[in-house]
Amino acid sequence: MDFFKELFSKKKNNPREKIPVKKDYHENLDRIKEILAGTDDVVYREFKVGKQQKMHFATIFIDGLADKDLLNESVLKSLMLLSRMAELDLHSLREKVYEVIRDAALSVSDMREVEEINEAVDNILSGETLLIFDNWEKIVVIATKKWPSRGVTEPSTETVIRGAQEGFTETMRMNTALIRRRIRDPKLCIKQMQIGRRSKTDVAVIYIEEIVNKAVLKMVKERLDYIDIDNIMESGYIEQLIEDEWRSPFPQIQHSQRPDVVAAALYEGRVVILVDNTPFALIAPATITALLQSPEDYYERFFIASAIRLLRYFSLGTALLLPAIYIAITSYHPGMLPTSLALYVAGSRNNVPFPAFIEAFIMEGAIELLREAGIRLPAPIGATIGIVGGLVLGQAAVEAGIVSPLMVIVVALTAMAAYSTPSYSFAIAFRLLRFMLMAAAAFLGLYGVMLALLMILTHLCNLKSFGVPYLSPYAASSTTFNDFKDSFIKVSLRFMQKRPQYLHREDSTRLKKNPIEPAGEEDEDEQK
Amino acid sequence: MNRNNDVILSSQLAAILAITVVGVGILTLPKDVTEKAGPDGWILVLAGSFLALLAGLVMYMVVKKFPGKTFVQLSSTILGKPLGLLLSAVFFVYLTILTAYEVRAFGEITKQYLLFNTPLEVLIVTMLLGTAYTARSGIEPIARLSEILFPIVTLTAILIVLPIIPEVDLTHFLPVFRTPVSQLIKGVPTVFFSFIGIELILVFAGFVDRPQNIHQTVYLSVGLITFFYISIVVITVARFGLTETTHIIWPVLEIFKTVQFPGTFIENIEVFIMFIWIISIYMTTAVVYYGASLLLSEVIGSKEYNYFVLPLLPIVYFIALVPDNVAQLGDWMGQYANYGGTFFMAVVPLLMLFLSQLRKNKEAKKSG
Amino acid sequence: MAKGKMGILILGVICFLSGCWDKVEIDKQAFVLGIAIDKFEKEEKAQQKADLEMESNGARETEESARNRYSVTFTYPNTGLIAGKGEGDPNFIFTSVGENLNDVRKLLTSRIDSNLYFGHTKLIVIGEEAAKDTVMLREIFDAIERSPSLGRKIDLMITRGKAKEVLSCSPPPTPAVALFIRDLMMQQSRTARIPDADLGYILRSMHESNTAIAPRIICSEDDVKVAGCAVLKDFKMLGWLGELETRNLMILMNKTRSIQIAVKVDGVETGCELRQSLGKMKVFERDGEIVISFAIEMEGEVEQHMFEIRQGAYIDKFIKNVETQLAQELKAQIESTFIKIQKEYGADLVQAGEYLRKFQPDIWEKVKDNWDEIFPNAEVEITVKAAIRRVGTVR
Repeated sequence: MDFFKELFSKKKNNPREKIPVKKDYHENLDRIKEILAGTDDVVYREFKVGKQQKMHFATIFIDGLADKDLLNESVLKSLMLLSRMAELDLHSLREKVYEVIRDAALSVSDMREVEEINEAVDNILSGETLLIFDNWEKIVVIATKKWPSRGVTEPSTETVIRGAQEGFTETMRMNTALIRRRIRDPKLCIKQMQIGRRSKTDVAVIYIEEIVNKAVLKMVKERLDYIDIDNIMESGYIEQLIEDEWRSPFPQIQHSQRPDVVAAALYEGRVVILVDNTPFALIAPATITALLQSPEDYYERFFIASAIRLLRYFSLGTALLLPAIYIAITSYHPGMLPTSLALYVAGSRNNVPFPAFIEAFIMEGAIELLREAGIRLPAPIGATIGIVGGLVLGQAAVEAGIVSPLMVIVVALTAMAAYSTPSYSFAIAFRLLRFMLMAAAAFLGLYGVMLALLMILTHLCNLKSFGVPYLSPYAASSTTFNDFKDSFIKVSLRFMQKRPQYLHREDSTRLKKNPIEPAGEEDEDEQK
Repeated sequence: MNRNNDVILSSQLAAILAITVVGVGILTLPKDVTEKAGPDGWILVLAGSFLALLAGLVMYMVVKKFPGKTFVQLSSTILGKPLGLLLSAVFFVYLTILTAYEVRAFGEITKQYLLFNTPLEVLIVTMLLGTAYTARSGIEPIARLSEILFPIVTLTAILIVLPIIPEVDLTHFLPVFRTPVSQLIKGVPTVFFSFIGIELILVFAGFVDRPQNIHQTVYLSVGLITFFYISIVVITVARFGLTETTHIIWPVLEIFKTVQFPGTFIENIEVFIMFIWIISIYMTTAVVYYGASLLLSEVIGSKEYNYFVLPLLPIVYFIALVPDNVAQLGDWMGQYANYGGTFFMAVVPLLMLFLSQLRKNKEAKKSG
Repeated sequence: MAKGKMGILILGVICFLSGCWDKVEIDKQAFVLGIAIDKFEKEEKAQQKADLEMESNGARETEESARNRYSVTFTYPNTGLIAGKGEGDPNFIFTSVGENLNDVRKLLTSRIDSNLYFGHTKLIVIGEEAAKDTVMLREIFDAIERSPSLGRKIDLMITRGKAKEVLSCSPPPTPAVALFIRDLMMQQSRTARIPDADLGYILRSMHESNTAIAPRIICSEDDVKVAGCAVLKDFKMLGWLGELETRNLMILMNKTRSIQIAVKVDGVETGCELRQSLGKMKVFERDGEIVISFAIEMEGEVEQHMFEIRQGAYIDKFIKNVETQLAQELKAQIESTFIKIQKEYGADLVQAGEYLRKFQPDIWEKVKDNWDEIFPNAEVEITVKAAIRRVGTVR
């Protein structure tokens, strides 16, 4: 916690001046115009209402953020035309204008009133429309947010063969709707707040009341409240500001683009944070099992899912260790290879001018370069780069005798293994640590690798995500046997009666009744 | 950095103890017991383990009376402040020297089997740095680390032992019960001292969430260690025979050089024994190191043991370099284990139990 | 804390820059696959001198060569050739002389550009002369046992004549003779004439009962043969056991996989393959005499009879006949072998002493001090049972 105190030692919210709304229409309008002086995309539409055209009205909104159709149809039209047809005696109603237009004139579904100018301005900036008029010390805010946004598309970073194909978009409201569609539970809480002194980014904390881990929720809320930053560009900002240990390469908050992953996390008792303008939801706490699973594990048959999970753990080890082991074995312990293989490796490395460490470093560096180039380039050229870099370069390097063919195999295997990790940010951590392990291997051989590995493991054991041990359920005091049903293997859904126990919470039962056992012959008769 | 809340389960304590105790001792145990009792070595192991179990239970009875107390608090309450502090200081010195010996033994073996030309100093320093990092993390991460590593070590050990099984010859344990009883009794301490590390119960008991469950810890850890010891003694002797077992310095490492995996990719499985051995020695060193620095901080009265980990490093390092050669290291370690082990595994717990009982009776009388 | 970490980092960097003491790139390793150890003979010097340039150092030559006792040969393969991109000889062979084995190893570094690596050594051949020298053999065994890189899976063999010659020959399928021998010894179906004795067995047996056998290796220009064995006792080689004797010894030790044997039944040479199903030794005391008894059971099938003798082999009576003959034949062979081992060599290769120690500790207490005298005079009882189960595909 000290870290947060340090980081945010200057207490937040330099208190803003509160400007109450005046009764005078013109004064209010001028005030708003003054505040929004530099913004040319604000539209001020002033008009008069009533038979005598005596009442001043104005709508203020930002061009492009507000829904003009709605404004035209339901606000302007009803106030300007329909009110005239109703032949209201506005004079007698002078004191009750608001009640009248609220109850009878404005045909919009969502509106409210504010009493403070700055708050009203914030509302304009987020796309609402202000309605101000004479003789009324409040301002009406009409919900007209509608801006150009991307539709719901396939989540490009987490594709699955089986499972929902929709992903989050940049609009938070749409995202909450996607989650709500999966959890029709009144206990699903969506607590909204704005973070960012200037950006005023909407952030929503989502959880299911009876299931959520209260301790985690409290920590999430506390840490979010502590944030005082000028802007939030992406969920990554939030992630970095609320994580437990900034000195760790490992992501301590999971992120996902998939509403089904998020909903499943909510059902497990985790807390979800949605940030506007980001198609990624943050899920806390993150544990190593969560980072190594794909939603498909739960949709596919459990044998396959378990096998694939084991494969993933194996590939994680490969991605981390293979080059290091290659270096350690070829430069330090050739006795560990079978004799014929050792002789072959020695032969294939004949005349390679670099020591194994440098060789591995060059090749691993090249593949990282290739990966980076592939991401930056537009998709069609990216593929070309892959071919040029991977095939041509590798082939040429081997033929020129700069690297040994075995090294190319090692590098390719490592890259493949790294790609197979479901969580991108988790995989990056391993990519980085790989180089550390390679250095350790070059320095002390296998002993160095073991030492570095044990230190990494110590770090992982030390790490907690919102008070939950990162390595849960493998090494947490609150783990029960039940948690291993969904760890490196996944048992059949019908045996997963409990939610993860390491996220200890009230309602822990997931599956109350087991499905009907396959009916025997007698039962079949009964059914008939 | 968020603080760990320093609470472990009794089962986690068992994992810590098991992986700590099965450290350097396991490499020489078959040699030692065979030297002492010939084919009846396994009886020695059982007897020694029983003694260790008793010692553990005595410790349990002591710590049960003072739940949540550190060793210094505990000993000060029982023995009075000055004596208690003195005892803790001695305990600290004992653990420090133990750390040094473990590291030195590690260095010697690594130099022998893995890195022939790397200076011993480098091996020792790197090991100490690594373990210092772990020791600094506190009891909870150490507990989790033990919990993760113990099954890994055990599983790997079982896996690599499998190919040896067809080649073992259990007749090497014949004839049974021919060793004179007096000789057997003389040998029991050897096994008892292979349980060095179990006295850490006294130091770590304060962290356990339910101290009344520590007897389970004792049963579990002693049981696991005994299982390990018995199997390694049986396999080594059954593979090498009595004469060779006593002839080789580290028979447990050598045994895996006799194995031939027919027609597989893996030809030399001694790699894996080095793997798990490095893990176990790392954990042993880290835990004892942690215990030493924790005791030091308690003796001095500091709340943070963290500051003492790194300053201890050079001290441990120099102690580790004191023995001149392998043979001397072996002798000294044996001696040290004899005296230190007797004192902290048997004398201290019994004394404390006795005194605390006395005190209790006195208090009962007073109030009664 | 940050300072501490920085310190560690700097320390690490320093170590790293100065470090890598043990790093030898794998292509700079010379994987010594075979070692040949011979006794250095003075007459040989002139011939050896040609390829020993370091010996040409005039004045010290006599003084130094006076202490030379061993002539050791190392062979390592041309790895480039194995990976298919080098050329030249498949093996490199270097011989040098020196005071002891490690002396030679160090001397050779002045002639070899790679690091001699012994982790993959497969074969150690000892010349007959060296094996017959007690001190030498003990030195050799100790050096081998003490070395951390030489495993116990190595094959240790003894050859007639010079061990160096074994390493020099290149059998056609696998030019590296050590690999050839390794593969040969790993074969599942090899004949019992090759004794099942690797370094681990030899060392253990030498420690326990002071006797052991070591396979015999014979070579010509491009042909190598492993068959028969040398009997070692009291740290020196006593003599040889022939191929059949070796096979019989293997049966006695219950280490046989299968044997081929032929007997003449009804005038027809009948060839059989037998597998050992039982080989039990018992040692006990009868009227104050030590008796060693063996119960051996073999079973197998007829492999060869005679063409166009219809229903020749498919008859129970015939089979019974064969079985009796086989048992007799085997018994005679085994007995003579055992007598040879017992009387001629006095070598307790069947580990009867160990048996006594384990199963009859009371008797062992009495005899252990002069077991060497008692063993050659022990009575021996051998019972052999042979069973033929099958006769092949024709009647």
